[in-house]
Amino acid sequence: MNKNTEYFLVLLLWLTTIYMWTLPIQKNPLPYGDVDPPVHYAPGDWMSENDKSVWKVPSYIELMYAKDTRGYVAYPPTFYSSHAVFQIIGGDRTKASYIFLAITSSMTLLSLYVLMRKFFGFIPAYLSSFLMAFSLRDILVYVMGQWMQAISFAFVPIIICFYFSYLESFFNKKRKDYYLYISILLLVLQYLFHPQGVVFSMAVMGLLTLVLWFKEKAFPLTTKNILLSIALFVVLIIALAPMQLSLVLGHAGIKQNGYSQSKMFKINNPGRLFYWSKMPDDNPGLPASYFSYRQMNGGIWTLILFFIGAAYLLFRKTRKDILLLVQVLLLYVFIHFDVISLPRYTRYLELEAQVFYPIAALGLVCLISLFKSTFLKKYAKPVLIAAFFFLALTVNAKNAYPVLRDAYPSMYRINPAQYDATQWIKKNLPEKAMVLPAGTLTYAKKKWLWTLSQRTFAAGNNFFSDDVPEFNLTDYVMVDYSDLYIVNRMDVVASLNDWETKVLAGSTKLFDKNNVRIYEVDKNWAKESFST
Amino acid sequence: MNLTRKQLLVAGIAVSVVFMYVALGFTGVRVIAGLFLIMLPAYFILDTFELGLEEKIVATMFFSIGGYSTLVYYSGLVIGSFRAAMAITFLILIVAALVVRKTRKKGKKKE
Repeated sequence: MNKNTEYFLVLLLWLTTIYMWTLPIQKNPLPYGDVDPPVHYAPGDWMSENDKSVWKVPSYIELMYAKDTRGYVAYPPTFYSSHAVFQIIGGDRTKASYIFLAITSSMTLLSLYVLMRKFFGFIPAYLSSFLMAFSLRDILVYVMGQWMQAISFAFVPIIICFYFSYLESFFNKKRKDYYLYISILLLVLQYLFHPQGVVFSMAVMGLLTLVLWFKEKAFPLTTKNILLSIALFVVLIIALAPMQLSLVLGHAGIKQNGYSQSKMFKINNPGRLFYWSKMPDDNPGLPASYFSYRQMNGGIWTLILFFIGAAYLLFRKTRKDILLLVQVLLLYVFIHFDVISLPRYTRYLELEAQVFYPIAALGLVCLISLFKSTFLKKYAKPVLIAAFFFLALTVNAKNAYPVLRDAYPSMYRINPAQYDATQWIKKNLPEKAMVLPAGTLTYAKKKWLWTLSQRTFAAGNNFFSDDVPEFNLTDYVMVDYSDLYIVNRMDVVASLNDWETKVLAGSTKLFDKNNVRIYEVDKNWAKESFST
Repeated sequence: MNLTRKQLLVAGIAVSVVFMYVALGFTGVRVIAGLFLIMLPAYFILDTFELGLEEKIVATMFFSIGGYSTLVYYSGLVIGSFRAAMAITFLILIVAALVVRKTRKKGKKKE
């Protein structure tokens, strides 16, 4: 195929993916996401809105973190800063942010394309990237707002591509060290977006080096290479994210989320080794379908192709085949970290698509090559490729499309009345204000009010948020009927109205627009009003 | 029709911009145009290595989104204005990239 046609087809796929992944904001550009996204959104949003880089975060952000971050942003500044950059470039606080998030979260398909195109040719590359565009698990991670993780995992194929290019240049006796150093620089950036992806990239690089060392009976790295690579990585990480290093180590599982060093590396439920993935007992809020291959990958048709492709690679065992097989082995290890009591293993399931789809695409190529007669091969190739696209579109894309189109409908995302109220709060209330949202229906939305107003909200699970310590510090109350009108709960509207008349009668009303009212209350208001 | 690399890049940018306008309006155009703009310095540098076009473009995208933003963040701390930091960092990177490009090309000619 003409190279220009290839580029055009890839561009078309990339743009179509951006179109699909931005479906959640095309009709309604107001922010959405689960509980974590408002926290990830806040620092970048603050930087662009205030035209300043944030070193020590304002108290409203610090209070969002469930752990002590000593006043710094919880992760290295790269994601926050890139979010701010694109918010400014796009000239729109919310829509530009989400276009940026869609572009970056879906970059795996480009990164995977480059890896596969270079070592396996256009057809396997295009087929695997085509499937990636509709990978439901990747889409779920993006829609639910684990953007930093999504970007970090998107780096994996491109890092491996450059590292493997170095190894190939070494074994082919045409050593090109720049491939190695480009891969290290990308590894640094991957760490700066989210440290979790780095662990997998490094594991692939390490195991690949070992296996190829034994296969080729030559160690592919010189002492100078190793020392320079380590120095480059360590120095850049310390220089570019010094304040987050200890926090990141904390995220690695030490003394966090109920895990402690004493618990780690203890054998736990070894029977899990016989399952690929299973919903954990301490499921961190993920839907059950997240753990099902069938539901995330449109049935088992990709799995059948995967097994054909894996058998083909195991039979052939060239260096590039080993590159793909090593990733499967490591993915198995990583998603079974719970067996040795390591935390956050469920996140590595997101890598499943980028590890499996290339091998499934190669499985199809293998099927084509089974036709020995040139005549049959001539017809089998377009038919099988057309069948692949047909299944990808009618099964995988069909499953993915409604998830994106219907992501966080009306009540589940900030509505225009709430957004207007947050803008008023940002402009008019003091920086240390503590606002109690009464009537806002979901915990995630209360956190979005917090982020968008750049003031602290008492965000709890209860209707009046009286389940969080900040509740007692309330000095403003936002009585919000907008959600209740959307869900047509007139009974709750009436009781909230009674409550407002009774409890806020003596307080000063500062704002009253589109069924949202904001009152200033005395310091002891919360204690006095809720003790009776 | 066989396009040169330059023509291909220009055509790709034009198609992307038009597509973003139709799909996401002027905000989409600004985001994609901004992305292509901040990719220039890293592209100028990577263009001096023996890399395939797709390899170069995708690596540039990763380097630019991550690298440029990180440098803007730290410049912003020094300068005091995030927006000014964006402009100044871009100008410094463009100049640095052109110098690196020239130096590497000279080095290659000597070889």
